[in-house]
Amino acid sequence: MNDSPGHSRDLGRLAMAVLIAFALVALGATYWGVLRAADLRARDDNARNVLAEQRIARGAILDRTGEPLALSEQSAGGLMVRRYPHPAAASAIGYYSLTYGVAGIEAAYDDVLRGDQGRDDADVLLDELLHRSPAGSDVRATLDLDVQEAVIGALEGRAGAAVVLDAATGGVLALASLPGYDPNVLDAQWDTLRADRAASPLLNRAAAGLYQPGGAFQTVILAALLGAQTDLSDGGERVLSRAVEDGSAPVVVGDLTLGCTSDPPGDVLTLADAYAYGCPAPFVAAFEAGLTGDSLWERLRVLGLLSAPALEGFETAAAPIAQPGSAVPEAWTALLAGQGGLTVSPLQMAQWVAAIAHEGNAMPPHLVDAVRKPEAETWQPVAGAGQPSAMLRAEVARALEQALGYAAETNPATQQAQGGGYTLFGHSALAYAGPDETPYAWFVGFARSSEGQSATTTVAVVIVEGERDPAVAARVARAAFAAAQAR
Amino acid sequence: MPPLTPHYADDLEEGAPAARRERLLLALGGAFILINHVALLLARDRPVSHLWPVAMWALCAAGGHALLNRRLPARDPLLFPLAMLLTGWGLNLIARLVPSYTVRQTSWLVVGMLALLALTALPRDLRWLRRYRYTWLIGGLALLFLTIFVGENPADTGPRLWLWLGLGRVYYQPSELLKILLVAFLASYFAEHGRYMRQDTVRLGPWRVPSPAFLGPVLLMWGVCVIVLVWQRDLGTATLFFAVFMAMLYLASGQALLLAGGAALLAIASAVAYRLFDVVALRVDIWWNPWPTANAGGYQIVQSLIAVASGGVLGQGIGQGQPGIIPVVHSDFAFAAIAEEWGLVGALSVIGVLAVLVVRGMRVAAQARQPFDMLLAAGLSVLLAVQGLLIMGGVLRLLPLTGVTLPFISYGGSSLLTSFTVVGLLLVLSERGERAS
Repeated sequence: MNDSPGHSRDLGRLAMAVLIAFALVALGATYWGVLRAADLRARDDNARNVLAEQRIARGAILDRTGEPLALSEQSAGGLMVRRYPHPAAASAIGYYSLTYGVAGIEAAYDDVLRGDQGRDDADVLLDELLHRSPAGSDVRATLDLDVQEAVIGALEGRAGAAVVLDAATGGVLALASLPGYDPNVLDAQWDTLRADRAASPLLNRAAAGLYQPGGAFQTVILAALLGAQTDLSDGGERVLSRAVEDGSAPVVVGDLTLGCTSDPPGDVLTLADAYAYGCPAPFVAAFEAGLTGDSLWERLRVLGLLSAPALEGFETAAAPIAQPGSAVPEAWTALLAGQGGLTVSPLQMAQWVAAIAHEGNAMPPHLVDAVRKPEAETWQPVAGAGQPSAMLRAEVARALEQALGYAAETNPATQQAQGGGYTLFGHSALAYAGPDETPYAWFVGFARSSEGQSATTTVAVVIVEGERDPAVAARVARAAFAAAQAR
Repeated sequence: MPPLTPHYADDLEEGAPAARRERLLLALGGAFILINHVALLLARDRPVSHLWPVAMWALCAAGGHALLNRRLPARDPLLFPLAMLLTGWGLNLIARLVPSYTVRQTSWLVVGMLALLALTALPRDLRWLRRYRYTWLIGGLALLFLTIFVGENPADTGPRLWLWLGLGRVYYQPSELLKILLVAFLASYFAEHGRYMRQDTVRLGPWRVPSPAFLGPVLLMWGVCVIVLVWQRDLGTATLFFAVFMAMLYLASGQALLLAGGAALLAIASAVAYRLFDVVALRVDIWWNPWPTANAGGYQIVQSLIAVASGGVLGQGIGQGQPGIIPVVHSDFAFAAIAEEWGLVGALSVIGVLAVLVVRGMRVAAQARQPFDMLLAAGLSVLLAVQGLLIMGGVLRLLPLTGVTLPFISYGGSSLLTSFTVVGLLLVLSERGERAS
């Protein structure tokens, strides 16, 4: 048969056609396996990515004393499960969810925790070759679990927020927001949490909740009034001891009639008295005492109240507001009473109140101070959150401190923040929001402690929603100061 | 030292170099399969006793090699080791993907091996196959028809539309047997009438085509394909039959025009099937654009491509990938699993081994002395080639997905038995061709 040239020619052609077809299949395999591999692998429906994610021994997040706040444990099936032993810390730690992503420290240090960062290239290559699951580095937070739990406990289930800072470093000791969520069961509860618009448990009120400052704005105006003085060699005595006429007179802003948060002892008040008892009249009249709209606005900018503060991994917020024109005095009146378009977050307030306690320099708030490689013993400090920003002249800070100290001694509500072992500087205030004039209780202040190993200054800003008694916020601050003092 | 018997000495002289080469290739293949299996046991923490499929494979390889040395000393030395390599690779894959099927697949390897060896024991002129072609074909068709009435699907669930004959716990797919019987029938028919097909042509415009009398088989094939397609919704097997038929018709007639005509017929049939059968339309639509339905109809093919992509060049390593994400990966998507765990290198190896196997089969055809031998060898080679191309092309989205198995590798006893029968026939034919020359 193979004598026939026709047959061998036809066989040859057929074989060639078959080989060409095999070559095309080979090209197809190369196309998908190499050329298109990257985008195919990155597809959302590639379950391998989730499985690989579940095998990562994600690093732990520890509090400043080494107490684990988030850790990954191997489940029965060999996959890693993220566990949060202290759900009270959720508002400071954030969450890690295969379905809903990451937030908070879990987001800010995601690549460190996953082990994508801080490993040698050779290690990474070897792990991939041997199919070893990567192990991530541990992250040490500045958070103090005792302070965090004390604050959450003192809020007693009320909606509200608290920021507690170490004034010297800017390290966040507590970042509390209620209502909150349990990150251990986030996936199961996500839809419910998202749907609850009234309580907004997923909103971090401490970092991103914008509140009417109300009487808490008086500290800002006082800072502006003191800052306007070129000579403060008297420690601000001239400003603070100035007698104010009708200091306790009520102020009308729209439908609201604002009075002192606590009844002042007499009729003749100094500015320091008015501030201590939270009487709004002298502050609303600040323009008559020499303050201008422009200088106040510049002060707001310097104090960081017009911009969202930076806190890695957290969404922060600032009021979207432009400077009111001088032709609308009622807008300025509302603003000076803390009831205008300017709203502030507890974090914004804590940041600049920390500057009062730290000679006018605000250390940028941060939540993480060190990372530790897997199996390593020693912690590597992370680069600081940034340069301190000069917000106040040192004399202004000292004068403000004096006013805050006086208020803490005299105002019965603020006195609720007093405790043993520290000197209290604080201011209580009320604010109102919404058409139904919901009251909010504020406390801003700090405590100096010389007990323990070294002197520490702890800043606390507390807001309690729906609360008419400013003493409630002060008591939350006391819990924070007491717990922080023990560190 | 006792003298060697003349017969034995004769064997040594004649078959030794080829036998040595076959032995070497089998040993290399065995090493590859053993290493894979050991790696699998390590990756999956399985006991050493789970190496038994490799031992069974080695037994089949050694026994087959020894018996082939005795019966077919002049055979092609590549066909058997390459088939064994792919089969062993398939065992690795089944043990990795669906360990519970390992016993079955290994049993079918033994059955296939016995069938191969049985073929070598039959008269080498294959007269038994050639002379009774109508009997064989009608028998095969009867079995196929039987499935239409009493067919079962052992998989119980899933969209598989294959029909099976159940005899106790053993299932056989008659369309697998029919593949070989059809090739044998066509080889026999064309061998007898081929002379006329080449000479007795009619003019059709500028072309010469075989006389209509010889186009009878076209209608027969058409009928068989339609039956397979309509009753079994088995697009893959129908396409396979038709492609093999066209290749053999081309070899018998030498008319390239017939190939064009056949392609046109196939196109028409496809268009009609697309219109008439939802199953076909769905498969084609998914093939054309699987991305919008990646989590519904296009899931399998998209996941298959992702598996291929996950393998990259070197692969994840056996037991280290996630090919199980693809539904029914062990039969239809075995090639995607290989691409994921052995990478592009593994995929190209499978393509290469299959291509060499097919080319060696074509070489057997080229060396054949009889038209029947030539047509049978070529037809069987094309059968293996087209089946491999259909499923690999489907897995890689070069073609619409058809549910045919990857020869030797996919899970499936009927398919493995068919593949071994094909190799057995090719071995016999290679012996005949070599002896004759």
